[in-house]
Amino acid sequence: MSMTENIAQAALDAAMKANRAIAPYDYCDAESRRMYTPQFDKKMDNPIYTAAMAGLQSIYWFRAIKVKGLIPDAKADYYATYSTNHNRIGGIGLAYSNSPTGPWTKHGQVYLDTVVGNSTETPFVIWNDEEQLFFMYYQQNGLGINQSTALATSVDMINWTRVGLILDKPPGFPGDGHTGYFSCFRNGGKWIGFSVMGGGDFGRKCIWHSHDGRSWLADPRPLMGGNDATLSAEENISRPNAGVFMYKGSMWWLGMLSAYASGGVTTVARPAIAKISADFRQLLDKPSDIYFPALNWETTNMQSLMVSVMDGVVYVYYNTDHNIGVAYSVGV
Amino acid sequence: MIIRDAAGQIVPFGKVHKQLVADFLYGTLPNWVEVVGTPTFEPLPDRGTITVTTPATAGATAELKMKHLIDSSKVTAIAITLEALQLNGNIGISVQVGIKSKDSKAGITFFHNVNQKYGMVRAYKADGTYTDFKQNMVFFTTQGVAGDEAQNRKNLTVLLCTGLQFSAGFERPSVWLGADDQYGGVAADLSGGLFQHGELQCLLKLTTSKAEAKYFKCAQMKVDIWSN
Repeated sequence: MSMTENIAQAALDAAMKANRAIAPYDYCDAESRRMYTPQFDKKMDNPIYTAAMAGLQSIYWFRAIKVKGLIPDAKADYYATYSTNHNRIGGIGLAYSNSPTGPWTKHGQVYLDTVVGNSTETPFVIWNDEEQLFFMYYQQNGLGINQSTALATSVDMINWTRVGLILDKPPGFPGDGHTGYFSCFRNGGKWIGFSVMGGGDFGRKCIWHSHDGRSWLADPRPLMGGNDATLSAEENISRPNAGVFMYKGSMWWLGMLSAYASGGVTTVARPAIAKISADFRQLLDKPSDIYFPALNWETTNMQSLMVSVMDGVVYVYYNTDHNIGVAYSVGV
Repeated sequence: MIIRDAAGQIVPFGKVHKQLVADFLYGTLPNWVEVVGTPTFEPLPDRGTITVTTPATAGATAELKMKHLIDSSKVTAIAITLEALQLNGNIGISVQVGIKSKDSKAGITFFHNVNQKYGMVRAYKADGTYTDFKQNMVFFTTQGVAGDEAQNRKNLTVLLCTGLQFSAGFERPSVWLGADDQYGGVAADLSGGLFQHGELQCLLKLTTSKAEAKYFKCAQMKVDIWSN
């Protein structure tokens, strides 16, 4: 190729890249459109963690966060919390790794609430940079009206201080008082979280708002199964068992599509993704399946799906039966 | 069909939106509402509610319904909303929130029969038959279902989209069950003769199955009508 041709080719390549970079969404070809939709790959290997590795009969709500720089002399750069799945006693365990995708090493149980109630499960840990504390929300059976979300705090994620009941059903709200399965995120300075609002197969969900992560206001418009998005009375979208994140200027929901089921029973669920409205109440379109290549240990019994954004990558920790896998966003 | 715009708001069902509201603040019924059963009110300075109680006989009803009828072939959507709906107990009653003709040969209703686990959207036909669509929204807890999943103290909207907001030939009548801006039930496609147009009445109806007085209570009844 001559120098002139090289220059011409370089100019063409630059123009094509520029075109890809400014391709408006939509009015673009299918390949360009993929640039605006998060793409995922997953670790094609054995489970990154299992109930057996944790020494438990079941495992649930495995989710990692980056602790590097937050915990002096940390065991590793990333800590993951998890619990049993609908166990009468419960208990929250910790594992650590120097990579979000593992391998994960068991530390063991770090917390069990024995003050009121039982079944200490579904931990969700978030760093509170204002208080310089890790906040861990979890659900506790027999606490509050029914089975409610409680809070514990820690400086090292190993030694936890119980704060106690933090979310309870306000008067007149629907359901049996179950406010567990809480997950939350920071939206600017605000705290926004999702929980169930009543248990059972057809219980509602709730959006909570807070300025400090301790005092929460329940939006009195409970969330439903999003059947105007799924277009099916049989299938609902997950709320706390999911995550939201910004990708190329749009807010996205990544969660599970599943049958209406509860109580840890075997179900059929699959991961999916859709744009979500700015108030986090509505999916903007029918969710698209994330077609993970199936691994031989995976089943359709997806019990939890937790999202954690670390170092600009969206990690999706999912468990089918008693095994944990991880998927992660990849650039296009 | 419900379709949301790019911001997540529902694309209006028509250019013209009219709304009837009964808020029960003054202990009286507005002139567009009639009642079957014994009504009692909690007017101001209370929060404004109505309670309608059946006689203590099996098969008795308590009803709150629109006096006037709506010709569904002239509108694009009809919705009936009950705010803070509460039922006294989860057994011994059947409940429906309907947009249906008086002879049950046109329109639809959201129906939950006593001791059934699931609610149904029922679409009536002119020949007196109907088609049921099982829904995962329910009025009350029944045996074998954990937790209080009832509509007690909830907002409930039954929305009938006649399909007439679409171009001729693309009508797809549909029914949606929701609360506020959320939807938890759908009988998405009533085309192909499953939906029968008619002069329809919006109503809430409770029927007893035992010789016991039962009631429903709500803080507001609304009827929304869209057209072009």
